[in-house]
Amino acid sequence: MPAVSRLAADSLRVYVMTALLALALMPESEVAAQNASGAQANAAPQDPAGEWHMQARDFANTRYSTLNQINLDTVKRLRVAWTFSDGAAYGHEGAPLVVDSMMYVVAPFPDVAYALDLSKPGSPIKWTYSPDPSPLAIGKACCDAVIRGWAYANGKLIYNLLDDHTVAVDVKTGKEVWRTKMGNVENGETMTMSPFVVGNKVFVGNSGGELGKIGWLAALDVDTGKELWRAYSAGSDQLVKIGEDFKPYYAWMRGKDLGVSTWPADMWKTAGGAAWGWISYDPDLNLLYYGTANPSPRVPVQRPGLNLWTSSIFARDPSTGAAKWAYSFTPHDQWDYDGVNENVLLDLTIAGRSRKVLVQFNRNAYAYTIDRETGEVLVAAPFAYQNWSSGFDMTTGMAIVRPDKEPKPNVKLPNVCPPDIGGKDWQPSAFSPKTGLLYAGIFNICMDVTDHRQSYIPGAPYDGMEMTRQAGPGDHWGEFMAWDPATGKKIWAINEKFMTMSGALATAGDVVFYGTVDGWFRAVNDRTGKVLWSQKLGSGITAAPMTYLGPDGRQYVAVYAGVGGGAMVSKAMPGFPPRGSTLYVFSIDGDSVATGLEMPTTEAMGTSKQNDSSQTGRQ
Amino acid sequence: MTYMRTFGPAADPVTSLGWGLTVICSLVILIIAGLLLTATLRARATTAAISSIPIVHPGGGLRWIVIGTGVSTAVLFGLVIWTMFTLAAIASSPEPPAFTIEIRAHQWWWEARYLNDSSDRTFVTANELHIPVGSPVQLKLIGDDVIHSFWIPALAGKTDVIPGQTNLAWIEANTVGTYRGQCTEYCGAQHAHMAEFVIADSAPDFKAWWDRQLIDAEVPSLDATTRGEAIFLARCGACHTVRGTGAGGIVGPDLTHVMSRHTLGAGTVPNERESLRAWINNAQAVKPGSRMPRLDLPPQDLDAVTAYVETLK
Amino acid sequence: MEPNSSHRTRIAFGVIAFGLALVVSACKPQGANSSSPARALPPEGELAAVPLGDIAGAAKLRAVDEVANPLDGNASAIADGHRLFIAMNCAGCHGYDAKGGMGPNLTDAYWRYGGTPSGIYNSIYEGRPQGMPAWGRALPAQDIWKLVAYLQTLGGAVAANEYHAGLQGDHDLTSTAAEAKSLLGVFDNPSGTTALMGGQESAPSTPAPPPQHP
Repeated sequence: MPAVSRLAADSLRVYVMTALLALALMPESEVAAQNASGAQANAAPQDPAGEWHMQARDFANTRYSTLNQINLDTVKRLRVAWTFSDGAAYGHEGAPLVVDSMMYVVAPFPDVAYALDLSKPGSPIKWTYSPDPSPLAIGKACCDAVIRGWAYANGKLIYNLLDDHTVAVDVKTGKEVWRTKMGNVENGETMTMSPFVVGNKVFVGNSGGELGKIGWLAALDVDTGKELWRAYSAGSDQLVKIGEDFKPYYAWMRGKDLGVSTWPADMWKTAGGAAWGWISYDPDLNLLYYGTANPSPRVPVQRPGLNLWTSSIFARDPSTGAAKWAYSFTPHDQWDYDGVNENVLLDLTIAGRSRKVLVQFNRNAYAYTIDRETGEVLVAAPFAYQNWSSGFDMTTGMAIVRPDKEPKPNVKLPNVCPPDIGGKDWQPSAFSPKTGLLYAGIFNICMDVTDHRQSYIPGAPYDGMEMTRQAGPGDHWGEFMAWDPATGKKIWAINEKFMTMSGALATAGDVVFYGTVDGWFRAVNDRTGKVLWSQKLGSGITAAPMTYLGPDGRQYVAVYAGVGGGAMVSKAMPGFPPRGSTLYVFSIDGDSVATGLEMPTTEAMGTSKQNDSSQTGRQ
Repeated sequence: MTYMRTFGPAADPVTSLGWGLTVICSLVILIIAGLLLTATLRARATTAAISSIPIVHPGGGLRWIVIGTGVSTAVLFGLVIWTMFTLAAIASSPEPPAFTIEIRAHQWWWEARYLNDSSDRTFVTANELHIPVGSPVQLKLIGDDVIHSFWIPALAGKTDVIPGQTNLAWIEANTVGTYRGQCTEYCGAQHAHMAEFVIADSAPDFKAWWDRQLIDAEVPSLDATTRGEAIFLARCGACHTVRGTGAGGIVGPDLTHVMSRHTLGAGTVPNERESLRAWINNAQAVKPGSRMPRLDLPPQDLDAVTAYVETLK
Repeated sequence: MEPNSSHRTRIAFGVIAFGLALVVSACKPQGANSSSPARALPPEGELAAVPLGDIAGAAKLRAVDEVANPLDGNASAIADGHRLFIAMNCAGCHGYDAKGGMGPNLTDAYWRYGGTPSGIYNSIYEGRPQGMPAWGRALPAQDIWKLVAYLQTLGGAVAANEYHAGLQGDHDLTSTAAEAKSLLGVFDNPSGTTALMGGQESAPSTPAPPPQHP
């Protein structure tokens, strides 16, 4: 070989090697240059990419999948691969779990669990578990007899029954492993939330603030179901598990027994503050994050005071339940804004400083970016139209309430925005580390509210808010948006006529998924917000979608279509769908496990002439 | 319930004005009557004597008119100014009120919520209010169903309680004692039995009373009272509150410390065992038309419930 | 003084008579029982003993169902019933417009446990399995009838003698039921068709016009 060409070949080889090496070693920051907000998330517990072990995908609640077979190019080929109806008519709010080629779903009341074998065509039922919860619970569940999710841990499917039991089912056999009674349904307490597992503990909380039940979060042992601790949302510091380690950032949350002194005499016992929403966990700080719901009754004049610790977020030590910090989003909540929405844990840079934060889209229409080590509010920006406050005071960490939006008994207060169900309700958002944006279905709704003072009668509602709801400015009820958590700005939004009450799913294929209450399931370009694919399903979608890799190596996207829950506030809209109970599973071209194979064979029965002699009787 | 003798700065200026007016008017009456009598009873001349007296028209009659009108105007003007000063004096308390009581008038009883900066010292009671001697107390009067009127004659004037509106009033007592009041706006069948009582305590007694009102009802310990509590919760809890139990009704008066009150039914009957028993069993016979239904309990249930209510001190 | 004494006496009598009239009119009892019941109201205990269900005890059920609401149409009872509907937290489950929420719609014609006045009374008194509390101990009978009177004005309730027809969404068929009973004796067949062998059927009944709600 001539010397020059050898040099060229060597150089070329060097260049190619370098380029390949550079590509292989390309640091995250190169990719992050496309990341608008600079936000990153911890993917712990690093479950297998093709499986879905917990409702929110990971401890940080990103609901982000690294699968990318379904992407900007292929998403338009999505077709239904198979469906499954669980036969229960109430609202469907949970996402299926996929572990080891098995899919686990739990229907709403009567809370029957199904295991579907994904390795066989049509994903047949492998086992069914019927827990028989008490029907009394149906009339005690404020917002439909729903189940918001289920959990997987140590070979067990763990979920809550509407009548205050937590059950664990062996995923191999479908037999009950343990059942723990957590409360008394006759008094108005129910359980609808999805349990959350960290290590060998499962965390569960109650519902029932609309019936005067005091809220709580409890930890159970995953293997035995034994209750390890329970932290209440009001009452003495001992009940709330506030001790020396408790360091809230704002002065108005420091003091002794604030869970008693911020209520009129004895009213903390019917405080509300139920923990019916989502839980997140930071494994480095070892802190659990969850929110508490509204104070009880929903008539504020009956409970003067800050009403701590309702409509708040707690950071707790998962081993003991001890509170590390808390922050109340809407102290003396007069509109039922709660604090239970999901807290997505992100790491980002704000004002030049790198911070560990959590982001919550609260029902009060403010999107909060809060330092998750201390509870300091870094950003509070409205993500939906609101007129209950005139601004946010960053020094006190409190929104400034507008006096003319405070309800008074027997007086109709028109056009309060957002309504009780908020600018966004429990439907969970998703985060994409590729774009650095959060994606969420939100609302554009306002209410006319009249308060009526209420008696407390155990087992009956302790409520008092008479409401009619209507669309906010612009006349659309729903909106799906992308949000920058570092700056507190909306990047793009898709207006929807009906409510957008499904969860969001973000994927590495640059596609995010969401559904509407009139049954449209959509895939959207996560940078531009352009709708790439839509499919009409059999009922409204109020559940979160998820995605998994089947045993055939294909990526599937699954979502329940069964309208219910809070979406029923819009049931008078023309075109509002009836109830449904079907899980839809999509894949590219609708291909699925062994499609076409293992079909039943047809048996030839011979010609009709041969059969004549064997027949008797009338023609 | 006399208002001619009052015991607090919200009413004393009015009483003085009242007595002053009485005295002045009495004097005026006496003077005018005197003049009139003098004029009518002055010795009359006979008919002959009259006709023999030449008719003279002395001046000076106008002087009487001028003097009379002038004195009347001056006195009346003075009274107007005195009235204005009185109105100013009773319009609001001379010093900021010690605390506020939110009073809701119902047919036919008074609900009172004692407010405090510290929420957990807020509580609800009915019909009988305690106030500390020498401290002004603000009253927020909130109407619920129909127009009532709040009046403690010995302490303050009347203030209407109107649905849809909040009226402010204040009272202050300068002497320890019990002051009775009455609803003074016809409000339905039992308007006549809608009394309220304001008891002025010394400062330490008042604090003790407030602290006592904050305590939950005792858990019953005897068989009879335990059974009575169970019956109470089932039959009475939907309308009455007893803090510390599952009874949380706000339709009727708060009974957590009902035995600390002197009367039942807003002054209708004294709070003693026999009248309590009769009230519980058939309030309609005691106060017909009131919202408390007739229960007609079997005798052992009635005994149990009465025994339980008697523990609510 | 003498003049006009007879005139004055007449005035005096007139005033006394007027006063007496006022006193007498004030003594009339409050409107509670101004409309007489269709038949005497059974005691509370008997009403509450009526079983749910169809075949067993149906005859007894039907008899009790003909009990009308003694406060039916009484304006002050309806207003009190509305007040109770909010004060007793019914509105919290059934909605302030009674169109449902946690609990079912009370303004439509579908009644899970019967929509006759005594059926509604029983549901309130006894409570029902899917979360309806039992109010029979907390509320006196009068208050429960007031609530029923209020609910009857909302348009969905069924007339007193239409328990079965109401459950099936049919109109009043009791007249054809009586006719069928007389033809068949023991076999009480309210649907208006018979189950005789040979396929002979009586003429299908023409539906009666919709019942007028009281």
